[in-house]
Amino acid sequence: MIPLNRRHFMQGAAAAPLFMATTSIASAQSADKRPPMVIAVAGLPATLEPARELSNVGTRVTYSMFDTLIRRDFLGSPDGGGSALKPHLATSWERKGPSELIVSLRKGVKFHNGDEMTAADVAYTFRDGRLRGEKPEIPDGRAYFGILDKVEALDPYTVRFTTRVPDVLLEQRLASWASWIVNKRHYEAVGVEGFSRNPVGTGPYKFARMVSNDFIALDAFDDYWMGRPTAKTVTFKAIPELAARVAGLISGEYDLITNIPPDQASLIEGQKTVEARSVVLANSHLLIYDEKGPMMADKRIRQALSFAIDRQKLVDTLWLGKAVVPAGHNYPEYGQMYLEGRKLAFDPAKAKALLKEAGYKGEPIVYRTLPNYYTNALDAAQIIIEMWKDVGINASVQVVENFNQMAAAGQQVGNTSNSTRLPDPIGALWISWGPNSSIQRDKLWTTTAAFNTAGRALEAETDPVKRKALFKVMLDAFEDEVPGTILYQPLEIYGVKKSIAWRPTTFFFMDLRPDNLSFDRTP
Amino acid sequence: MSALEPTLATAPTRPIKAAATALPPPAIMIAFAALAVIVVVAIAADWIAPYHYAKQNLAVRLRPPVGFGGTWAYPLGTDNLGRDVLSRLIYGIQTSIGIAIAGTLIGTFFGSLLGFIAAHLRGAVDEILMMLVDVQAAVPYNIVALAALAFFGNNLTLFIILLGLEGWERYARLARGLVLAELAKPYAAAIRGFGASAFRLHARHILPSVAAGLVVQATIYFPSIILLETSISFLGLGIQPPRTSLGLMLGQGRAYLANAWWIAVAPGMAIFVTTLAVSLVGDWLRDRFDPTLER
Repeated sequence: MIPLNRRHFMQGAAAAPLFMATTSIASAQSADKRPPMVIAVAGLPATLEPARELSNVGTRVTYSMFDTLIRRDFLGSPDGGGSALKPHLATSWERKGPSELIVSLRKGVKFHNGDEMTAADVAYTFRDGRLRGEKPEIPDGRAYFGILDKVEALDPYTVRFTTRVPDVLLEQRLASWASWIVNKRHYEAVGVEGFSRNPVGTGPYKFARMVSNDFIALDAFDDYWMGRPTAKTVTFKAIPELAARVAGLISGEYDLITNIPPDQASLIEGQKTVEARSVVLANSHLLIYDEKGPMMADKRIRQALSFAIDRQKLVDTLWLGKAVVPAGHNYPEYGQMYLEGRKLAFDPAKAKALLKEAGYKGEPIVYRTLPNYYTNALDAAQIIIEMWKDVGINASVQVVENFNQMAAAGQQVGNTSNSTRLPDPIGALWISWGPNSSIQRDKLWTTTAAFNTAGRALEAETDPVKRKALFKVMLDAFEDEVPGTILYQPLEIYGVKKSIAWRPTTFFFMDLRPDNLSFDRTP
Repeated sequence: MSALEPTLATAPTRPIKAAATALPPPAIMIAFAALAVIVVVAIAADWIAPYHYAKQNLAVRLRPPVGFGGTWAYPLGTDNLGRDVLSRLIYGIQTSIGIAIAGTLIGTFFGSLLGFIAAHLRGAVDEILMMLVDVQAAVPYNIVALAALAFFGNNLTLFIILLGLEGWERYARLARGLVLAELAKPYAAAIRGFGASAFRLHARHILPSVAAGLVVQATIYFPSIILLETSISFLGLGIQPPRTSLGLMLGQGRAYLANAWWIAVAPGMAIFVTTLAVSLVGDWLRDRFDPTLER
């Protein structure tokens, strides 16, 4: 036994705080055995205000930080595209008429800053001036919630939504884009710009740090109402180079990677520890025909460009047959609104005739695209310009660095993608090409009378038969005017560690909630 | 007499003469042969390429080269759009070499011109020009070129001008030094004394005396222009598809390294061979012609 003398006692006393500190750190670490998760993505959003970043790259991140009142149950269907609605921040909702919905909120839901979510936050999220009104902070919000008239907190846990016209889609809207609930107190304190850089929501992961175009780091929010998140942290890293993403996944640096073209999926499928998981997206890649560009104001030119594209060939080659050519801006998930018997025609003879009729004499048509933003975009562009050359169009590709360069003066053809945000034409064609879309706001398309009249009537119509007839008028107008054209619904292929249980959805939403993410899967 | 000849031939004051009479070493001969092939390929691309560089055949995407399971229809295989890698390589050589030559000519011309001006005018103009030379030498040019292309948008003319501006300061500095040395010689003073104009003095008398040095300089830095072109195109900011260049092919091929290595390997080899051959020839030319190495 060591005799205790004064010197030993003093040494022990001096060392004690250190000893206690290390043990407490160690116990904290052993308590949190959850792994960090690193996701390599092709691009990151510029901000994190969830309604502002309604893009492929934005919703992927914000989906983990925010909740909607109603949850669309994507994973309820085997293809990851379910459209049934489930209670989420709302425990129930009730129609009081075609224009009125009463929503009851879940009690005890905490925001990342500790506040409890109440009706005041919901009313604030949907207030006039943020997503709707004359000059909303988020102009794109109008495409989703411009239809709202009033949103009132009846008591701390009950909210009444009233629409300007009857709206059959309100519940779907509340489960979809731009409807993520924000924290009122924090938003008021920091404003829209501050919130964009440091957001506060109720989601399973809370904002930790972001460096533009480099990474966005999130920490688990352990008070999450659906239970403790399964990852300790989630980091979205921008790795624009496909080869670097694939190499990082195989080496174990990344847990999950996005945007893998079908050609490269075989590389991942041959591996021991990682695999490819894919889903056909409720999203279509499109070309935009900007009528402000030279030659593009003549709709016969635009029609010819569309007739000259052999979409099935693009799908069969670039996508190994796994992408889908939809029947126009018209998808089976619309249910009874789906227009049967339509298709996107490939008719080179008609294209040539239209060009002749329009007096086309070999003026250059330039197709602008970003190199990496949309999977296979540059390859598709090169194939399409060859198809255009085959009908006598003097076409060329111009690679641009960002969407501002694409939309800059002189744009003739650009590319974009449209998501089916609500399983209804109002949630797809109308949002992407209607009066509140950037296409119409920026005057890329002005001959919109027939389209807009039918669309406005469709918004307010509740009778299914009349709605379908109005949709047909709208789609006919769209296909006749051709302000743009659909190429295909791409296949999104993710590379994932086999040990991770996670299912993709038909949206770019990346569901990392505890019920769809665990790290103990036996392959 | 006969006893003197070998002494003269090996005299240390005349090593250049001795080298000039001998054949170049085998490595240089091979380099010359490689360069000859590359130049012929570049000039005759339209006649020797089996297909047009943009000709797609989507039915035969990602076919391997002959010897790896491919057929003679596509000797070096096909790329991700079913285009013939050999044809794209041939046109890629044409583009890369053509652009590098254009860039080198621009750089040599403007750099040398400014060097002449600095040497002739001296004083403040000389100071300012040499300050610009120092600035250019101090800034990493790749970054400048990338920034300019990203800012102004891609176009071939700008790209060639940017390549031309790479390294102008080397020519300016060299030309200035050589011209100053020539101006100090008696013949320059004599020509001035006859009343020759400055233009006549420089164009007719000084330029021929310093041209060899400048040409050698151009040869030595030619590979760096090729590499600048290929690196910028590799990053996606130079030559734009469906046109092709060695760097662009390499850049496109890197995504396919694991499953279609031939797309990147063919242009990679071409870049390697071209730059190595030009470097070897350049070094050899310098040994022969560079006046600073004579003594």
